[in-house]
Formats: sequence, structure tokens, C-alpha cells
Amino acid sequence: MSNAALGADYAQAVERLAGRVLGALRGTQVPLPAVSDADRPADTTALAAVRVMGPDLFAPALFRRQPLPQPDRDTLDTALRVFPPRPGDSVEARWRDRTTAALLARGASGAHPASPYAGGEPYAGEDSERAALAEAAGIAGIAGIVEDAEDTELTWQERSQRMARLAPLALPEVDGPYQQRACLHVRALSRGATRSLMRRDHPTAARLVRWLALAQSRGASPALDVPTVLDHLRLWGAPSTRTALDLAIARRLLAATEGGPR
Amino acid sequence: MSAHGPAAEEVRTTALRTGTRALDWLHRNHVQGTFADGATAELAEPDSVYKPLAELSLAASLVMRDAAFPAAQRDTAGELLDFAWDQLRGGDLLYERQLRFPAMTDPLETYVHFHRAGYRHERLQELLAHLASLTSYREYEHVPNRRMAVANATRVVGDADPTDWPARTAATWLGSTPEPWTMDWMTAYHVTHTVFHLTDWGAQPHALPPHLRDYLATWLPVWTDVWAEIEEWDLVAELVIVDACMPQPAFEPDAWRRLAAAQHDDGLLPRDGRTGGDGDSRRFEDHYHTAVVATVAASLVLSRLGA
Amino acid sequence: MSVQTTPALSPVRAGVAERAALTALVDEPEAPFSDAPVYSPQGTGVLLLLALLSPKTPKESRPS
Repeated sequence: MSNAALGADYAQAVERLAGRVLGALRGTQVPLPAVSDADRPADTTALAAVRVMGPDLFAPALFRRQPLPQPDRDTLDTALRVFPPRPGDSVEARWRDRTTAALLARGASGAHPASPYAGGEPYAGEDSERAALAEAAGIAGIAGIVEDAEDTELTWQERSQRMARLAPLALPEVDGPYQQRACLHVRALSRGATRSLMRRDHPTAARLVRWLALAQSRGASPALDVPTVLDHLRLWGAPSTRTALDLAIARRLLAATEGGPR
Repeated sequence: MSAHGPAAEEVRTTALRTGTRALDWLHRNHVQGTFADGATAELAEPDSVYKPLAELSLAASLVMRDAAFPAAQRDTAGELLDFAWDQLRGGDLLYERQLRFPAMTDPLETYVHFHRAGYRHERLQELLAHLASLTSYREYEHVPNRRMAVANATRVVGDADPTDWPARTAATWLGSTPEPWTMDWMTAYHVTHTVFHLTDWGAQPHALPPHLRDYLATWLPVWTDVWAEIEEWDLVAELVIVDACMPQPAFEPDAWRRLAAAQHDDGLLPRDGRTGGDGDSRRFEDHYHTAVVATVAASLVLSRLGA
Repeated sequence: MSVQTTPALSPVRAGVAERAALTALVDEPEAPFSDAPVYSPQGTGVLLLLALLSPKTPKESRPS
């Protein structure tokens, strides 16, 4: 199979999986787990889709404060073995994998509000979470959790580009350096979102608006009116399923704000 | 010597080079903007010569006012003003045009640049003072930033200016600080002109109210980035002028780098990335406006950066 | 990470081509070309009006 055909196959699989996650998020007939029985045991294409979605797979469970169903956890494990994290992976890919690993390690007892990366309050599963992180970090060839020293020097364009790729980290009940940076750098991200909107790059705009929604839900003040931008993207975006998922998560994050809409 | 960092120094160097070359290109090509014999106040095609003359004069008058270019460029500016004033028959053409068409604003908007540089036409001044006193003249239905142009020109030529500036500003698109992603090309020009007239082309940066300063400080970099990416050089240069009109300009080097890279060896700065090649697409009438705004941008930036 | 054994065969690691396809999707960049708005359809010639933005000279019709 040609590389182009492979890429197209994977992209289609991502769209299908995003549709199941979106359905589960909206609470329509598509139930959890996100990976359907028909797709198990999953072939490489389905596993690739699972790896691309990464932390987003947990979105319906996190919003419901329920654990990720065991079949999905098993599929994720398998996906991580077939497509393991590697030392050459981009910074963004590594952080997505870390988040996935940490969420997996939370265990069957459910979601925890504390940061999976800091000391925080002790909670059940913390040891296994640390072990999972260490394993994920070890697999990726990184000794411990490495902060990007150059983060403070990023222009608003560079920061927006990075955060767009890290959009799957914008989830409820998940905290860490990038979630904190989203709150700290709302102006830069608002600029990035506006730039993407004007370029009519709606998928990127949706990813950035997802971060703005998360930041707003945690008390920060974006320079844009997030509900209005979400409406704009709904009307103009003609979104892929993946982008529709980003928008749905953004709306749910906003709704979680005190006094927020819906 | 500079209170600004190395980025601003790069801007100074690039602005000086780009602006000098743009002004020299204007000077070398300006005779293309000459009236045919017997041009009258009716001006069958005001776009072809009259407007370029007025805009040349704008650039030249600001070069004189800011006095930030070297002496050679100030001499060039002086020559351009003399040429344009001569073309306008010492202001008589403007006077006749205003008599003929009392509702038109272009005589005032043209005269103001000469007035700024020290030229005078007594009868035109008298006529303008009378018009400025009329409620009607103030309330003709022009777009909001045109009204601000008239208001600014009125105060610059020394006439009593009863303009309610906050109200006039609030009536503009910029004045409402709207959703920034909805800006389009034409609106961008309305915004730039609103700032130009509000601040008298950067002479009064603090005339910008705080809420507009904050709004522009946030969004100007985005708009500049977006239009630089699609090579709309004329608009990028106007946005650079807007930055220089602010109390605390950002002086970002990137826009100047891109303008400098787009400028041809002979100083031609094409209005956009699709034109400026050979032959017909290098016409004075198509690109003089970009040279004008680049000259103004450089003049103001150099002036704001200081000696 | 789970150490449970899943009741299936041990999965085979993805090959080079599969990894490349995955990476391309994970590290998806922004749209490479801008689709930002340029001038509106009636805008040709507007550029020349801009610093003055004054309307065209009205046609003179002299009463006989």
C-alpha cells in the first residue's frame, strides 16, 4: 500500500473514531466504549486512530467523571505497544503520550482532580500513576519530566502553533504545565486563534479555541468572546468530525464554568 | 543612545533604507503625475493626477514635519511639495474646486498637507473657515473616518473645531472595538485612517483613548501578520503607521523585513505580491500609493524612535 | 500501564511506513496557505481613492 493511501486510511479511521467519541460525549445512542466491539481486536489502522486521538479518547469519561471502560483501556495498551512512544517523537507527541499514560494510570476508580504531574494530594493510584509516567518517560528515552526551557521565549505565533498540536490536553479534570500555560498566555492564544480564523484555517482555530475555553473555565480571561467564536466556527467551519469534537469539548468546558451558558 | 532594544535598532535601519528608497522612487517618477494643460476644478478624472498629487504632498509634508530623514530626503520632499503646489496653480485649483463644489472635502484634505508645510492660500483659507463654521458641512453624510479626516484637517489649518471627538470616534468601526477576526480588507483601511486622523498622523499619540490603545496593542500584530503573509504590502505599511501612532509602539521588525524584501532595486514597492513585475504592472499610478505610505511609515517610525 | 495479559496474540510493532503515517497525523501542522480576505469585488480602483476617499466629480449639466 502506498504511503499516501496509508495516510488516507488512517485519516478516515480517525474520523470514524472521532465520531464515536463525539457521540459518546453528546450522550447519543453511541455508548462508551469509544472503540466498538466490531473493531476489536483492533487492526493496525484502528490502533493508529487510537494513537492519534490519544487523550481525547478519555473526554466522554472525564466529563461524566467515570472511568474509561476496560475494553478501551485494553485497546489503548495494545495501541501503545504497536505504536510505542520513541525518542525521536516531537515535544507535542511526547506530551500527548504522557497525558494518555497518566490518564490510563488513574485506574478503574475514576477521575481525580489533582494534577498528575505535581505532588498534590495523595489519592488512590498515585503510585501506579507515577509508575506509568516513569514507564512512558522511560520508553521515550527521557529521564524524568523535562520542562521546555525555551518556553518563555516563544512568540505568540510559535506558542499558538505548539498549543494547537497539544489541543488533546485541553480536558476537564486534567492539569499540568500546558494547562497552566494556557491560562497564563490567553492573550497569545487569542491572537493565534484570530489569526487562524482570518486565514480560514478552521481546524487550527478550533484547537486554539478549545484551549481558550479551558482557560476561561479555570478563571482566565481570553481576549475573544469564546461563545461567539464557537458560533462562528459552527457556521463557517464545515468541520471534520475531529474538529467537531474539538468544538464540542470546547463548549462543554465552557459550560463547566460557573454561570456559563447551558 | 536608544531606549529601545536591538529589535528597534533593526527597525530603524530598515525603515530608513526602505523609506529613503521609496521617497526617491516617488521623486524620480512624479512627473508622471502631471496635469494636462488647462486642468480645471471639474477634474474629469480626479483619480489619475489629482489624488496622487495630494498623496505625494501628504508624504512630503510629513517628512518635513517629522524631520527624521536626512537632509537630502527633506530636500526631495520640499521639491515634491513645490511641484505639487505648482500643479495646483498655487492652490487656485483647490480654491476653484471648493467654490464649485462646496460639499466636497478633498480641497481641505489636500490643502492641509501644504498648510502643514508652510504654504498658504488666503482666499481658500477664508472659504474653509466659513465652511467649517457651517453645521451642514460638518454633517454631510460621509463615512465616519472621512468625517474625522475633515475634523483633523480643520484643526490643523487653524479653524475652530467644534468636533466631538469621542462621539466621532465611537461612530467608527474601530471605536466599537469589534470582534477582531471579522476584519476585512476595506475595514482595515477604515481602521488605519481612523487612527491617522485621530492622532494627526502620529503627532498626538495620546489622542488615542486607552480602550483603543489596548485593543490595537492586542490585535495589530495579528492583522499585520495576516496581511503580510498574503503580501498586501500597501496595507501592511499602513498598519505599520498605525503602530507608530500609538503611545507605545511595538516596533516589530518582521513587517519592515518583509516590506524591505518586497522592495525592488529601483525603490518600487509593489502594492501587493501579485504585481510589480515587468511592464504594465509597474505603473506609477498603481504603486505610488504604496511608496507614499512606506515613506510616511518610515518618517514616523524614525521620528518616534528618536535621534 | 497495564500488565494484564489480553486474551489475544502479542501485537506486532508497526513498521516504518505505519509510523510515518501516524506521525504525520499526530504532528499535523496548520493550513500551509492563508485564505485571508483580499479586496472585495467592487474594490478595484478603491486603492487609488484611499487617502482622500472623495467621491467622483459629479457630471455637470448646464441648464440651457
